[in-house]
Amino acid sequence: MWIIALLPTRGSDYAVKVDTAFWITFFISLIFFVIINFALLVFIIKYRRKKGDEEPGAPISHNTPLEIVWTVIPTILLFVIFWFGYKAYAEIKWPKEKPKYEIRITARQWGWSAEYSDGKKVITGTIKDDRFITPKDFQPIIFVPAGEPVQLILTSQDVIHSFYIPKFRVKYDAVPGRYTKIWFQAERPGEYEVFCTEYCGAWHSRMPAKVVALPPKQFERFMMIPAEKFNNTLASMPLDSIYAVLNLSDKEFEEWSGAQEKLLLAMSPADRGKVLAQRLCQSCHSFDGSPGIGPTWKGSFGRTVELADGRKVVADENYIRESILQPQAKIVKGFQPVMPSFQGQLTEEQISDIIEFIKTLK
Amino acid sequence: MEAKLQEIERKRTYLDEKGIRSWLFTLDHKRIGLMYLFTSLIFFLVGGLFAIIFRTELAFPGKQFLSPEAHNILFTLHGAMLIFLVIIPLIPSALGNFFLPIMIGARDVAFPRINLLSYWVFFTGALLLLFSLLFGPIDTGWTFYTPYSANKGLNVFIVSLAVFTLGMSSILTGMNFIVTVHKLRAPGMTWGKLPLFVWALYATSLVQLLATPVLGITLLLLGMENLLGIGFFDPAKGGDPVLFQHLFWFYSHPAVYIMILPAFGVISELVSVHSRKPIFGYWFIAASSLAIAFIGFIVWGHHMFVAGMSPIADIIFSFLTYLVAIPTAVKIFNWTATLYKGKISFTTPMLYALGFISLFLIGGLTGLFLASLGTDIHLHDTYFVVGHFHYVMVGAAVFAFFGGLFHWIPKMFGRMYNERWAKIGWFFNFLGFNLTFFPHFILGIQGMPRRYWDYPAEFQSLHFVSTVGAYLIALGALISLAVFIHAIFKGEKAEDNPWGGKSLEWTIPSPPPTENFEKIPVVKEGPYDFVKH
Repeated sequence: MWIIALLPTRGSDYAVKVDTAFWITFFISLIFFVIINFALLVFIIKYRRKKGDEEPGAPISHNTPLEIVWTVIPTILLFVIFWFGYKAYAEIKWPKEKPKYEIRITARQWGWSAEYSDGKKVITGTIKDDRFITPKDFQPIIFVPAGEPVQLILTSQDVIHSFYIPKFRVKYDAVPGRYTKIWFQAERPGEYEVFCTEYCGAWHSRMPAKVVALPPKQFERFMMIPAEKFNNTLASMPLDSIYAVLNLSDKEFEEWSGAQEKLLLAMSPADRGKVLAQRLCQSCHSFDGSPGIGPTWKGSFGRTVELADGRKVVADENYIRESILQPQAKIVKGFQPVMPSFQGQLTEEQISDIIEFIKTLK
Repeated sequence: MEAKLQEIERKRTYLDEKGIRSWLFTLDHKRIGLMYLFTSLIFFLVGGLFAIIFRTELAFPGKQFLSPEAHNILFTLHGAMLIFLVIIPLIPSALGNFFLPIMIGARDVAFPRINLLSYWVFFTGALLLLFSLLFGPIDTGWTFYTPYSANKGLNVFIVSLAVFTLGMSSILTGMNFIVTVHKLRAPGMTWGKLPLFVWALYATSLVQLLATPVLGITLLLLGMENLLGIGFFDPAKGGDPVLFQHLFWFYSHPAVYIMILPAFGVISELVSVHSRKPIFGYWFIAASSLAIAFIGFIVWGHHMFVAGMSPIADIIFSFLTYLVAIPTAVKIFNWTATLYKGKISFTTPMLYALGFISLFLIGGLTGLFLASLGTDIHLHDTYFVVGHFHYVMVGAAVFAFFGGLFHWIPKMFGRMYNERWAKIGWFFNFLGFNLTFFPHFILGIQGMPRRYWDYPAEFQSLHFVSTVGAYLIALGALISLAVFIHAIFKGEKAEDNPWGGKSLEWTIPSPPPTENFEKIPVVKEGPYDFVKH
């Protein structure tokens, strides 16, 4: 049974064709593997040289018909393998129907951001610590309807990354300066891991994410939530809370929306900034004064900082905003220019929320 | 008096002259071969040590003792050293330099001075690679993908210069071998009587000569981008990162054949001599070397099925890639058939040859999954690729090197190695290799991406097995090298022809005299004409 479980559990329809191509290649390979190893084994047992036997082996130098046969048969089988590989590829490359949902994915060192046509944004961060990644570290990056084709448009803002969903058998490079496209269709509701598979630097292994395939009803509700509301609350919440909201009955959902409205109103900008910063910024910037990859935020607002080039600037709103959007412009002395830009990934409101949060860290 | 002096002179072996200068400035192809051999073996140990360190880190998920930065530097140096300083020169420049002239009945290569030059160019390249470490070791992977590698500065510039220099050496050696094979064959040594090792080296040299300049150009562009900030590959400066991949693989795919074709040649010799049987299908094997060399030039795109090429290009490259599989399959059948009705001795070289056939078979068959468009998209850049690559580069190329080394130790040094310990070394190499790299296939199929410093816990058991295997390879490699060193200094005196080989190197004394042949031989028999006594 283990052999059936060799490939990851399939999460999509067209993956059947990939699996078919895989197993056809597997069995053709297995046949050759067995034939050659069997022949080797028989020959080395049967034709081993006895001690003192100085005679040469049989003077067989070639056999043209045999050699033609064992050239032609593999050639035919290779074309069979090519054909099934091509069929699977055609399925992956060209969707049968035009996908209704389009999601733009931008990769960066080291995380992903997704943007929906209605302006909803989800962004994942880097898991920077010494323990190993657990299923919880796979942060939801895209929400899709189960059973419907979805198109992803990939790009990158720095180096090449690759968006890989093993259970959908799909992978494509996110290349800076151009757009690449993939589509998939999640068969069943569920969660599907996403890995980066193009080496992109130190934390290449620590940008885990996941695709969340929702039942139609829940997805409909997901689409009903206005982008602004989603970006400020749900987008930063654990997946469980998102499920809880999407699973509410219609009436409860209405209540939740109302309450959310109030909650949003009640949440100060600094509170909203904190939720966001915990996920995106804290892996490099500590909130409590402890050292990190980037300068700590504690007591940083309003302070005069010395830059790597000797200039001095005051860390005010404009400086922080510039640091988020163009991190390389002014590097604080003693730190490396390694921060990715969040241009296009955070809304103006989110940026000012983060600034408000930094102000509270006295 | 004159005649007597000449007589004494002839008895001298190429090893007799002493003193460091006699090595550093030698024009003798055999000595140059040995200098390549020892230089490469040192880097083989260093590159292997790097692998042991990061495999230890990867034995368990989470951080053990390496930071991600250190892990990335180690796998980069492991790859860059073992490819450019070990596997590319190991068989052609070391064993090839030593035996190609002897096997065709020549006293030396066509251009002995260029041969020495190419060793020193190689050595300069190796030094440059080490020198680059002073500017911060590179962490770009041996593939240098842009734009990650485009903004690193001086260290990437120096490494590109190093690999550029190594490429020059490779071109010079290739050119030298081609001219040697064309011009210096002994009377009667027709193309149909060339040993298959020579055929393989000839095909390899063609690839070296034609493909390496493209790598040189690519690395020069990358170096200029890093040094002068000219935007060839970084889109932020108006360049195209995918262009780099095209240029890089235009060399680096043929480079795979630079690494594996000489191994094919060695195996053809071993299988035939140690079973005392003519090689089966001489012309099919010779022709398939050339076919692989040429088709190898037009398949580079199969490294880029998920990089954003047009679908038409993807389909064409996939199709062409299967064409390479045909001559490769033919070779495996021929080696296997050579054993049929042979007189097989289980010498160490034969064990390596048998190990080669079964490991290369796995390496080749797993290549079918990667050439197939649909399955490659799933397996691309996962551990499956790492497994496939190592089965071909280590299971095949390095095993062939060890087989060839033990096969020719008696000829090179006039001494025999310890058969029992050599076999023990083989056993650990074979077992360790499979333990290390077979789990890679399963990991890859299950979706484990390559070049990862950390992984989810579900992949742990296979990673652990792989690390244990790596330690066994280290043990096997150390035993094998110890047997080699022991043979050179303490080995029993070897006969001129311990295996009963028919090619010309077995007709001269062990170790060979400086001029190889007292009189240039007239060749009447083929290299595999084993006759009844």
